[in-house]
Amino acid sequence: MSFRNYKEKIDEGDIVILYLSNNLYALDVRPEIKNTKGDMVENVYQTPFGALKVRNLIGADYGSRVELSKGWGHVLQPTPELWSLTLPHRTQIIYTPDISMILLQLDLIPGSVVVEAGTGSGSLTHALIRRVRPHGHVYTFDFHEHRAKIAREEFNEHGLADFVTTQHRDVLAEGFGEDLKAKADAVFLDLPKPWDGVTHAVAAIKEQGGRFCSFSPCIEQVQRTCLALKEHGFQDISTMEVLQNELKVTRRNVPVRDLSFLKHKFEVDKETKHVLRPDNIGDDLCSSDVLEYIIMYIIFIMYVIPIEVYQYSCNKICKDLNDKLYEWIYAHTYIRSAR
Amino acid sequence: MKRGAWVDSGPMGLSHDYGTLPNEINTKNINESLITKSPSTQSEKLRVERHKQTENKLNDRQRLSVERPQASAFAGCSEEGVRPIVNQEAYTQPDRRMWNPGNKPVPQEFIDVLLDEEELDIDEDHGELVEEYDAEEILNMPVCIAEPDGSLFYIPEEVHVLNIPVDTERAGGSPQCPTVEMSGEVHVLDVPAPEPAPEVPGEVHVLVKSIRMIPKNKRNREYDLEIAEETVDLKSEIDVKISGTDNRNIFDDGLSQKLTAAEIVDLKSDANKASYIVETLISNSNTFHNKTEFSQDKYLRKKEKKYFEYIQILRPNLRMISEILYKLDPSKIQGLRTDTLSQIMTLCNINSEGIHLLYDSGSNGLLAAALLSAIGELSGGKLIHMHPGNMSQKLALMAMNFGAEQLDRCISVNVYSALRQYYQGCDTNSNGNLSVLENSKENELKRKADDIIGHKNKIAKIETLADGENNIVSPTDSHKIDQSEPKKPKWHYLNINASQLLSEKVDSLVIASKEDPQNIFNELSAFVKPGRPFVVYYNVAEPLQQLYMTLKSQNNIAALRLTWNWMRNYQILPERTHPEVMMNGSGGFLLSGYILK
Repeated sequence: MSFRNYKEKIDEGDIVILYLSNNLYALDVRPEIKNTKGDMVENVYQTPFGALKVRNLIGADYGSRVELSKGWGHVLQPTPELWSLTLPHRTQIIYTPDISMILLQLDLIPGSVVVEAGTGSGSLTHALIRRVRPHGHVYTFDFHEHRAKIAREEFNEHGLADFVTTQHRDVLAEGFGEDLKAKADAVFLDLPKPWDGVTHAVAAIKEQGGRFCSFSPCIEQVQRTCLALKEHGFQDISTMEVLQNELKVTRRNVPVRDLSFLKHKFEVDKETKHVLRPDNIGDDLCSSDVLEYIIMYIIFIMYVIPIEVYQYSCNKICKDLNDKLYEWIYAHTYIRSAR
Repeated sequence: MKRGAWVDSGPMGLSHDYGTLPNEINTKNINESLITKSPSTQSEKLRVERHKQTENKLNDRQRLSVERPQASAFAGCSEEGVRPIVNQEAYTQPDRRMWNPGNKPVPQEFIDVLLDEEELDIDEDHGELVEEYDAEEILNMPVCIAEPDGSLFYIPEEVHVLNIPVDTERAGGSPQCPTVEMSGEVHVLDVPAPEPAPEVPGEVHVLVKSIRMIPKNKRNREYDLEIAEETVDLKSEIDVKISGTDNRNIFDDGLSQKLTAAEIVDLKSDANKASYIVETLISNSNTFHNKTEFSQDKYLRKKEKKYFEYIQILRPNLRMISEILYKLDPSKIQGLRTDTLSQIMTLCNINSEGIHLLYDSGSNGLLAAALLSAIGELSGGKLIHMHPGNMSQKLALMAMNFGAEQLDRCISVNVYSALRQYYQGCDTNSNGNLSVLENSKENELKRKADDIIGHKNKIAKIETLADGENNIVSPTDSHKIDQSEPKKPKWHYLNINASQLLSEKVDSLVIASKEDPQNIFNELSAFVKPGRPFVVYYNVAEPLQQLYMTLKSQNNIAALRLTWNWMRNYQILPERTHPEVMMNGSGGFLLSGYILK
């Protein structure tokens, strides 16, 4: 239930985010879990810093430090952003930079009614719910029955069931249903053929108009969707791409090489062995050998979309591969994973 | 009722913005009783002085300014000046009147005045809080003017004159509304009277209809507005029969257009229809028919922008306001681009619950608007909006057209007053339990105040001169106090309110400052509950690098990240898909993380 309200203390049944030296883990606060034999055993969560007795978390404050057998970590209350980073992937998910833009472009405010297809792993759904509650509602659809079911259970466990309706339905074939006719402020599609969903989106959007957003990895999909949108009288169509880059900041000592002294002749005092500077120089000589800088560099660029596309074509080739191609693919996958 | 509720928020209006303009009121067609009486002589004087200053500045700018397409975003505002307060009744009365009967090219300058709040903000005497809380204030009702290619304009005007009944039949396959490009001149809009359909309380009119501009007096750029049942784009009006295959026979010798410049000017002022102008231009062009189909299409799209006939009037929302302000001048909103803004809202988990703390200097209220819009109407969430000047920057906040209930949950306080109230409990009337005195922090704060704007002298003056009840009221305020002796200024209660909320601790912290964020972060992060997120925005990376290093060395911050964004728009047209040529590289930097116990 830890997704619903702000909380101060951890209760049993909460999902908490464990923060361990820049890594995040989501864990379910259950004092006991079933082992492989089906017996209830003490829930111990193994981390790189040793074991965590989950029972000890109950009653602890969010944001507080928890002791592990070989170190310590901190527990955080999940937000949709933390959840996006830690959730169990059932599909490829949408990450925070794109989610943020989607929420803004759909003009969502508390009270909005928004339709989403497909649900996937529920990464965006959590953010949609957060934005539209308490008066609004999210209708989310997935054509994969099992995924829809798991997502529904997950929203229940997270205490979000009031704000979301999860349905198993192939919206491209069947539309969003009669109930949603002219009900939605916004429609979001993350489907392989979003252009087929435009008609259904028009039917679902309120009579005074609304916003439509489609998220596609390939530009060909975008082109076809734009044509379909124009045909259906959509205005203000815009296409954009957002990438978030992270910068790493470190303190580094940078050696300094001075060459200016070579312009002048130096003499050595024979008695003291000190170097005697000519009078006309002095200050331009650098006094220290090393300068300290704070340096910032990009640690990674999220090329989420290109990698997606690449994987897809790669898999396709694999099916009818011959030996040579296999080498080629291997080389490229290697580069990809190195990145 | 949304629109009516607006009226009550008078004191929070764009008062001082309009205060920079001459205090003449255009009484035309407005019920006398509804007009604002000019405020006290003191502030009037202040206004006049400011007007002089801004006028000089404007003259400089006028000389410098190149014609900017956004200029007439403020079509409808002019030196005619201070908008009258319009009462709720005014909305129900059909009101036929002219917007801006002047014909001077005002708008860009006016925008600058509106956005130049910071100047008024920081140099003012700390204690002088008169203007913000003048009870009778100027009210406006902002709307956005939109065109389909994504360009938007903002008009801080009463929207009730544009109260167009919503047509429930949405045309499924209606052609796209042509582009509206405001070409840098004032357009006088004679708006059709609202239909007699009375407003239903609670019902919000969504103005999605296209409105056709019919030239009335072209030289003065006056237009009648007419609701367009159907919009026609230039391409379908002009039938292009012949196209070339490539540009091998086209020479840029300046001879392809047979009409002279003077003839074109005449044509522009005489013609009533855009299609007529463009058709004449085409038929007098030697080269048009040699151009390729794509090139002709591009030409028509360009001309459509230039000789636009249709506009759309929309309810403002965050997406539009953010886009408009960024397009007008990114430096006025600290270079806070739409994508970065959207991430601030998500990274800080802004939602309809909790208390959110914002320190904002220099984004013209854009952040407050963003956070408040995500907090929403009729919800439990609260926003403490701290600012360093004596009045908050509210341009964007006002432009969002929030209801009074929602706007009241944004508590805008001066950062010094609010923190002094919190630590020292300056006011003798307040509950004693509020005053949590922490000397060290207060000292630090005072040092900071010294460093930044040298406020200390003024503060000291206020504190020594003031006695008893009027403890934090500055001497310059006294005439105001005389008028309403027992009444305390509104900010006095806001400070108490804010310090009460601070003592409950907040659920998120957003800092977007012009100053170095380090000290501000140190002070304000103390109010954040453990485990809650923060975001610090700055338009360059260096101050955030420093802060990053400091926070890394502390052990009470989790998931510290310094990020920046890259955003690009695409043109998607059949066989002409490509990234847009112009790309703005600066969207600002974000330092985000979670505060630990």
